Amino acid sequence: MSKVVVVTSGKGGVGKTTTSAAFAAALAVRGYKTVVIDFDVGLRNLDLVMGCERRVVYDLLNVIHGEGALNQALIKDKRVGNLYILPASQTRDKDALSNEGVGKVIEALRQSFEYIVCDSPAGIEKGAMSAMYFADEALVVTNPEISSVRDSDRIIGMLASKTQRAEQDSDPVNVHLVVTRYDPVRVERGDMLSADDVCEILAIPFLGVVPESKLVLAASNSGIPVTLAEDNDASEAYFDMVDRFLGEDVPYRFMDVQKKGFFSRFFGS
Amino acid sequence: MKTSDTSTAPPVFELKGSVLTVMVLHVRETNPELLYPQLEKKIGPARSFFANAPLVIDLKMVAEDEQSALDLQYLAGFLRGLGLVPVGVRGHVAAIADRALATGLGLLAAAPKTEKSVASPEEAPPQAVAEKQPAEEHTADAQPPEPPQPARAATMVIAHPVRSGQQVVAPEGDLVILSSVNAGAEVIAAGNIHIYGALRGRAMAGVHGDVSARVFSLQCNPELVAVAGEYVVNDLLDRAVLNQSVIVTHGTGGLRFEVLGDFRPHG
Repeated sequence: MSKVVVVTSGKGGVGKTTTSAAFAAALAVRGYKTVVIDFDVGLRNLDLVMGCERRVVYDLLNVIHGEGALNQALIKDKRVGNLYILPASQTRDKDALSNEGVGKVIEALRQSFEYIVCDSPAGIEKGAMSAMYFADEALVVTNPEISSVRDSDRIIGMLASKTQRAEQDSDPVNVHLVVTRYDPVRVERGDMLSADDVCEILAIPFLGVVPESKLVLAASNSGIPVTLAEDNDASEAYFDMVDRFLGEDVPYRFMDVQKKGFFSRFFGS
Repeated sequence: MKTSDTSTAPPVFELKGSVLTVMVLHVRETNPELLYPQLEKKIGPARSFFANAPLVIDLKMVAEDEQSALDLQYLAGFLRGLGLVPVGVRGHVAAIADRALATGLGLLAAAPKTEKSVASPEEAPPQAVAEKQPAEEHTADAQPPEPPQPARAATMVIAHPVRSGQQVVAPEGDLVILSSVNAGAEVIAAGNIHIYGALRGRAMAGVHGDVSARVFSLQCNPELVAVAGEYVVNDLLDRAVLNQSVIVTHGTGGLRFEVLGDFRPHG
C-alpha cells in the first residue's frame, strides 16, 4: 500500500525542498522504498539538494509526454539504497503539467514505491495544484511568522477542496504541520510566533519543529539531505517527525531554550 | 393494535395493547416519477439507518382519485427494497382497503392531530417522505446552500476552520461556525453569525439589511465586522474589545460591541 505525501506551504523559501529531501531520505533510512518528485517545473532545485544534478537524463515532463521511460528518469540515490529522485524539467513551465499525465506517473510509481513524496512549488497556481492533487498525506511547511502562517492556512483550505480526494468525496487528505526555522530564543523574546500560536491558528495535527541551524544550509549546498548529513539537531528533528508521521509516540524536542551547561558557560559554544 | 384478552384456559400467551413509536411515511404526491426517485434519494443513502424499521404509510394528504390510482403493492415492494418493513396504511379511502389488506398491510385509524414529524422536526420537505437534513454543509468555496425551506430558513453549520481565501455564505438564515474564522477568510449570513472560536477574518451578518442580526465570537479580532451594512475595520476597533468574547449588534450611529468576557482556547 503506497502513500502520496505532498510537501507544500503556499509561501516560498520556507523549506519545502529541504523538508522533502530530508523527509524522503529519512523514510528511506527507516526502510521504506521512497521516491521524491520535484514538481517545481522551470525552477528545479531538488536535484541540487539531493546532490544528483549531474546525473539527470530524463525528467518528469519527459515521462508525462512519453519521451522517456519512467525507470530511465528515476535517479537512484548513491547513499541510501531504496531512495529515488524524479527531477523536474528546467526548460518548461508549469502549464505543461496536466492532472492526467501526473496521475499516470503517480499510478506507475505506486506499483513499486511505498512513499511518493511530492515537492510542491510555492504559490497556489498550476504547479502547486498538480503536486497536491493526488495526495493522501500532506506536510504543510510553515515558518513561525504571520505571512507564512496565512499562506499555509490558504493551502490547507485548498487541500480540503481541490484534491482528488475532495473531488471524489473520499476521506480527506491527512494534513500535518511542520514548523521550520524555529528559534526558541527568538520565540521567548517575542519576535517569533511560538509553535503553540501556529498550531492554534492552523488547527491541524502538529508533527514538530525543525530548529534553525546553519548546518541545514551547508548540507543543502553540498547536495546532502540534512537527514543524511552528520549528526545535527535538524536531522534529529526530521527523524522525530518521520517517526511521528509513521505513528510512533515521540516526545517533542527543540522547542525550548537550551539551558547552558556548566562547561559551555565557561567555554562558550 | 391488539386490544382484547379472550383466553380463559391457562394462558400460553398474552395479548396486550401497546403504544409504539413507529415511523410514518406521509405521502403527498403519488406520481411515481416523483415519488420513487425521491424515496430512493432520501432513504437509499441512509439504508442502514432505516434497516428493518416498521413503517406506516399515511395517505391522508392524497386525494381520493389519486389514492385509487396508487399501486400500493408496488409502493410496499419498493419500500421493502429499501430495507423498510411497511406494516399498515392509514388515512386511506375505503376503496383501497381491500388492496391494502391484499398487499399484507394492516388498516389503521387516521392520525391524531398532535403527531410530530419523526425525522425532520422543523422543516416540511416540499414533495414527500420523512427526510433527514444534513447537519453540516461543506461550502468551502462559496457554494450557496440548498434552497431554503418554506417554514424557516435553515441554519448553516460549519464544523471546520474557515481558512484564508475561503468564503462561507448563508444567504437565508444563520451561520454557525464551530471553529475559527482565520485571517483572509470571509463569512457572510442573512441572519446571525456565531463563531465558537476566534474571528480573525471578515464577518458580515444581516447582509439583506436585517438590523436585528448579531455577530457572536469567542475571540474577536476581525479584519472587518459588519451588521446590516454598518461596518468596522480592525484599525477602528476599540482596543478594549480585542480578543475578548464579544457580541456585535447594529445600534444607532454604528455598531455596538458588548464584551462578554475573556476566552482562552488553551487554558
